[in-house]
Amino acid sequence: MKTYETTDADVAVIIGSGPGGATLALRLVQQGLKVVLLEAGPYIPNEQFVNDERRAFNQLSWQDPRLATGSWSLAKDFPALPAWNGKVVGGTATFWTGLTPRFKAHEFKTRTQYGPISQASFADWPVELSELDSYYSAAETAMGVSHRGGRPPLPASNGYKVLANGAERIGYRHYSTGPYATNVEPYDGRPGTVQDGFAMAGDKGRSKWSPLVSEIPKALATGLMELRANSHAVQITLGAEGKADGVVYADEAGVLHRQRARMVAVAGNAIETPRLLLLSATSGHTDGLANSSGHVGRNYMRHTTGVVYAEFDHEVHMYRGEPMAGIIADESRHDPARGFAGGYYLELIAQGLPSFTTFMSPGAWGPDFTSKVEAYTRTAAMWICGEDVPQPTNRVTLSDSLKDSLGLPAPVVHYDDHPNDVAMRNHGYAQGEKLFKSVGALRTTRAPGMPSGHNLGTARMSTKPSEGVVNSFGQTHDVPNLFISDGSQFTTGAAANPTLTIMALSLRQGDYIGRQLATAAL
Amino acid sequence: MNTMASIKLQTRHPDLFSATHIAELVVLAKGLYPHEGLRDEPYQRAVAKVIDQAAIDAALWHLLRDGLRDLHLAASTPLLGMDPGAVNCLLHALDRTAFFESLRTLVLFHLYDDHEVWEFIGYPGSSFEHGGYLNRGFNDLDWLPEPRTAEAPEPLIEIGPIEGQPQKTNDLARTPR
Repeated sequence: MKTYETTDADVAVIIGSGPGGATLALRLVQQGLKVVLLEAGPYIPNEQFVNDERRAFNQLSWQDPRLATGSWSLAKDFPALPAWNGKVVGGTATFWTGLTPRFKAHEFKTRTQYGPISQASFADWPVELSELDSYYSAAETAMGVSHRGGRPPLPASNGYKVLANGAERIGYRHYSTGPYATNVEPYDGRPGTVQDGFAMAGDKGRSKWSPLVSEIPKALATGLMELRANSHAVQITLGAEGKADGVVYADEAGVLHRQRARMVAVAGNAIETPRLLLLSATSGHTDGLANSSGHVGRNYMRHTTGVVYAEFDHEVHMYRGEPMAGIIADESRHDPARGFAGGYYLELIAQGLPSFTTFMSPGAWGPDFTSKVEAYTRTAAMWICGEDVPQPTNRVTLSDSLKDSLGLPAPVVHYDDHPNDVAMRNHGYAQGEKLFKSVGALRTTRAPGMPSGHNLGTARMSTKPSEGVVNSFGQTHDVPNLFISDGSQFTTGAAANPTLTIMALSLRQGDYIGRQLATAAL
Repeated sequence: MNTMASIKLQTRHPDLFSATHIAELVVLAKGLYPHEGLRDEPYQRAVAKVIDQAAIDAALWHLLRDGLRDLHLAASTPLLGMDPGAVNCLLHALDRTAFFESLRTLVLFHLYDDHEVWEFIGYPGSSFEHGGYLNRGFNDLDWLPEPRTAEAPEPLIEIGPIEGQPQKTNDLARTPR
């Protein structure tokens, strides 16, 4: 692997090796730039992943101290784990499942389309769907998404058969097993899925796309990128001209180093990205780096979610097969007649017994609960994934008491459900119950949201510098060579699972950075 | 209840928890997550893990000891030998105490990670070494018709109602434009 001196001021430093950071890294080295990719977690090859939910969680997850506050269910059910993020090379995508719907045109223009809604900070993106079309296609090709580019659909798993038949019976039309970023057939040097059911434990077989099996090895192969694992960024430093000139990070032993940089891109997920900007407060940026708007950390979104579980007379065995290869799009439309703005998807979800018992009914115990556990092999489930309302008070801040192992303030994630979120979730629960009952469900259970992998909006895009943190290319309004390269950029969250859009934005950002450097604008 | 008789494994940390304490925690664990036909051993293993954690977590140790002491003071009959209905009532009385919540969370966590429980419920665990389920029944459900896997041929209408379905309005709704 190519290595760079920490004093080399000619490298682009990218913080975070998940879909946003790794996609940008590959795009930059393809244009001849030198890149240092910092990752807080370790490098773990796929063969060391384990088919065991609890051990995999410990192996792959970000478990540094965090605190959830607010009226959302997470603050009660899992206060120390508001989100489920990766701390490993490949990031959260090492345990993502793989659904890749695109945003819809109107989801880039929510303020215009939805109209004024009390306490909501809906805003139009400074970019349109048509500007992203080619990048969406490129991202789908990079991931080998099913149902696209002539690639076949995933086959129907048991859980999908329940979901799809129920969908058909209640009048839905837009159900399918994808688009889903897991190989059905060999693609890009990776095999087809063996349907082992452990995508959320890391995917030993490499059939699932993640940066670990694609962008990172490809970028390393160019000889222009250094991957620096176990390197936890703690501050971005500014030079005399007000440009980012380095990143301070802690190594595995907690010793600090400073990598010089010609530009910096942050892709630490929508909790760690704003945290790093806030931790990087300095003279001229006393409220946090690139925070002249005051929007850093605000408008935190995590999708309106919930799970409906359904018991049947007959066996389902949800744990077999790709755990999320099923999606219903009929409710993803914007139809205010339903009583809420925005839309939601109904998505297949499958869990092993440890996760099922943890999330099916948080706090429950006794014979009613254990009777549901005993119905596990006869249970199917769906996940509601809808657009949540951006609110400036839903916010990532630095704790004034809780600290991480480096002694730095831990993030506090505050979230209150908006009435629109509640109305959407209840609609989703009711539709899910109706769907499952149409195919014979004996009993259904509504479960609240789980710690989310979808974390968005805390460094939002805006046309005006006063209304957001970055421009349409993810370039911060305040610091020209500082970029945000993850879901933090999202002005609004849309209903779609975000990874594909994060990748499309990184590809577009990479091209922009290339052009800017070519004209010496950066 | 033969909990006392079947306790033989927990000699760990006898200075911190007596055999009686451990047996009482097992009774509570079974009351929290009762499974008829499941042996006592998985509950004992779950409690052993709770105790292992309490041995390195002073706050948890304190909570468990005080919780058990309060139970002794409050209960008119001994916990050991109490019938399941009475244990259930006792647990309802404890619900939402810090002792109850800590014990419940930890028992849940460890009990449902026990491979004997997995087998009892029918969860096989790791599958990759068996070639996954590609040829072992990921799609063997036969009580419903085989559905389409491709997307619907017609495009989704992105704004507005599903055709043919009734509409109802709501105060929260906003008409676009």
